[in-house]
Amino acid sequence: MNDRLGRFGPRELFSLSTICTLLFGCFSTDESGLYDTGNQLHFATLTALLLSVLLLYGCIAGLRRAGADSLGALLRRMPRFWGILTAAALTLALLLAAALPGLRFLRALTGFIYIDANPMRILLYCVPCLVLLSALGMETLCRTGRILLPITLFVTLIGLGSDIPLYRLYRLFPLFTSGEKLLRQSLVSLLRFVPVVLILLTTARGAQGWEHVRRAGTMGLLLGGALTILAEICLGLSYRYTELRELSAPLYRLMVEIDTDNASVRLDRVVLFVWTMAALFASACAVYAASLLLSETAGVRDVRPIAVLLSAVTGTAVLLLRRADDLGIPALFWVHRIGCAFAVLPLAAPMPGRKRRCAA
Amino acid sequence: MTEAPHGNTDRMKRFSFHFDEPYSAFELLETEPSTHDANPKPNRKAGEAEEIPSRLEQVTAQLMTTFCADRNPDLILRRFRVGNRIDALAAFLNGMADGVRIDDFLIRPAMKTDPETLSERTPRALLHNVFPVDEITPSESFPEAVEAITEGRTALFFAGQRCCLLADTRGYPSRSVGEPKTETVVLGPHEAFTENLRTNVTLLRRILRRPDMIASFEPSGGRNGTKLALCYLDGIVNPRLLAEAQRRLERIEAGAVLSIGALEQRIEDHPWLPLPQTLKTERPDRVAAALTDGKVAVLLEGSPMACVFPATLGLLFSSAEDAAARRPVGTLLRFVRAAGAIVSVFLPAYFLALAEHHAGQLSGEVLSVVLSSHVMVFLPLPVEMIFLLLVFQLVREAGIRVPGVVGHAIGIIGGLLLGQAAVAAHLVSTVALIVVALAGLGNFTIPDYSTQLCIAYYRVALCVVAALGGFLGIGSMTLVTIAVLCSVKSFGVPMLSPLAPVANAVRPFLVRGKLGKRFAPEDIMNAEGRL
Repeated sequence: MNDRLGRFGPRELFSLSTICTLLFGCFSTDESGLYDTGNQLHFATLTALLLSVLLLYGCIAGLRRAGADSLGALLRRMPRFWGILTAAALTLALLLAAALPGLRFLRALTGFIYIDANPMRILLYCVPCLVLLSALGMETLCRTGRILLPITLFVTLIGLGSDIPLYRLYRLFPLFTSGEKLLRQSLVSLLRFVPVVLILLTTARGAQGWEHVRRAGTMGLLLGGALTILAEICLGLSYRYTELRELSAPLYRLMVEIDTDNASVRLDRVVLFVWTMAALFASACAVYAASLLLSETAGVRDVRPIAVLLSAVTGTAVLLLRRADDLGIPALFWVHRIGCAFAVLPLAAPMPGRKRRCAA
Repeated sequence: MTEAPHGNTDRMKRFSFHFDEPYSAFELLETEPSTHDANPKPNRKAGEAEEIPSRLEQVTAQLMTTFCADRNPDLILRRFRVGNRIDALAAFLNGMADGVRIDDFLIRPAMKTDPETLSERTPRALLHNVFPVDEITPSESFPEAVEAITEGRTALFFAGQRCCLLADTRGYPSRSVGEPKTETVVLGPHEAFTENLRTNVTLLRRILRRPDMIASFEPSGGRNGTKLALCYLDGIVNPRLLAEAQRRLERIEAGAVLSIGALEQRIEDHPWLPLPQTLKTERPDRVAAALTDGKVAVLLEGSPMACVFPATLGLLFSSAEDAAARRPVGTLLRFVRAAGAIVSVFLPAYFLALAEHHAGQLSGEVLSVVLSSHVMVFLPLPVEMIFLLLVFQLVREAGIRVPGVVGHAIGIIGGLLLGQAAVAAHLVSTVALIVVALAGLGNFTIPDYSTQLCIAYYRVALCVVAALGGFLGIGSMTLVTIAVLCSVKSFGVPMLSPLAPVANAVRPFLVRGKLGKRFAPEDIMNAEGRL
């Protein structure tokens, strides 16, 4: 089977999961309700991050118990109809996860840089990239992630660090409002990190052992999540939560705020385009994972046609969602939530002990 | 019309050349099934006998047929008698073999031999008793004798014998060892390979004085039979890499492999990729260093370069001087080289994207300088930039092709006078000229010539994308390029290793490794042994 999975080590997988966590964490949130309860988001993100690590551990334990070497292998053991149905739901969740950063960046690009440009023209640069990256496979993606990670980290930290003179601590008020809302927001925030867990579980076969997946995944989730929280805190220090409710592309605006009166060249757009590259990369990872899951479950022997098709679908979805913002986005988030709910499936993988007891 | 061996008339027509028709009507109607062996042994004609005839007349006739002696006067067939008893024939190619050596060490000793001493008349006995030549071997194969003659050796045939003697009398003119032309260094040796395969192997052996340095001579494939030497350190090289190299060399089916560049394209993994996947070097010390890392090198007769593989991007960006300089300096040199490459690739495209799409990113002063320098130029900035980059390549190519001092003069004329005149005539702006000049300088810091060329043309493509899409175009193309580089392997070794995938290496990407650690081959090579 030409699954383009290849072999990759824990360090490459760590790079991939860090970038995906950072990008999905920062750019695939439902901005409308993020700051409804003050700046409680930071705690919610932290809780969601810890929950996602627990989910990863639980899923790995479940898949190990079931003797499956990847999520696709577990789905193949299910009755065919239910297997394909679950794979379709997970694929949808992954595709939406891939489309959401694209949507955010498309908004930022058409809003601030290529003012009023036709989104189709911008997607003409992005979709071929997505097609090629997802068709090249996981081994290439992991290695690309290894190159991209230092650049993304450098640019993010420099960007956030250069705004330090603008930060005011009082803007973080109110930090905590209610426990119930925190729990609800944490569960919603968890959806940002579930796609990363799904990518790790789907492509685990190439990582040469569950131990590598567990270790690299945990470190990647924690580092990427820590950067996400850092970015959110920096935003909280720069703007009041009432302002953040209204802002689109707040991170880019934060970069624009940098005082560069004396500098010959500003770097905010360079930062934005590095993030765009990282977002394309993260989207390609999600599209590849979705293609692999679908091809493994449906028994298709070559992942590339599915990857090309799903990349095109993702591009089209971004374009359509851009045009139907008001109605599309809330519905999209609900579909995303339902799809991500299927990620708990490996937790319920059959235990050999229990099976023996049933047989007895 | 030629006749097909079987099948009906229509089929015969389809598979045949219509020689009796006028030239304008000549066409090959269908792909002609090849009548040649896909990978024929060198210099072997159909129906050629394997055995050596026992009669010298037959040998003469067969040699004259094989070498087309009626049209090819270079074949010399000299009859003589050994000890006035045994009729013999010496066959060699004029110019390829050294006539003085043939006279002094083959024909004269044979003629002057005392007949009484010739108790045994077999060629093997003559080899021991008559011919004072250091390299002389018996052979019973006629094609082997033909091959030896084409190499410049002399074949000695004896009446009544089905065995001949092949004496090394090679004496063709060749260039002496000179200085490297494209890989000059300040610190380090100043020797370069020549066109003579034997000399090149000797240059390598002078550096690697160890018994496990293997240089196996093989034909390069195709009918020409040019010799190549596959060099490696036995016990260090990974046997799977060696087997793969031999497999790829054996499957070459070209008519003739005449240069190392042509050979490289036939054995590398991705011939469509502009970036070279093997290192072509003219320096024996670089090849020796690569062999100690567990790599394999191929030397080809007639090519003053070695082809080293597997190659990584780090190897293509490293210079022979790195090891000679002190560690901090060596590391700094690598950083300068990397910065030069980055400037060379991105500076023109970055400038173009800034000026065309993201002018707001420049401060007022810088923007006014850019605009004021461009105000009188009638060409649009992207066209101007691409034009300048192509002119730079033009000057560079002209400088390389024109020999000696004139070449240098062309560089000066092209670089200074042409640039100055172009600015004065408002064909180009000064800022664009400075950007292109900086990019060109950066390109020259890359040690490998093929990589230089690849980057020189890649940046033109990047400029086109930057002109169309600004930073978005540059970002997309860069991402695709990184991904493609990550997917490319050279003989199973990823091009971007030890960076991606991560591997321990004695020659890391930028920081030069400790000299003490250099006595171990790189991990990425998965080499067998240690030095």
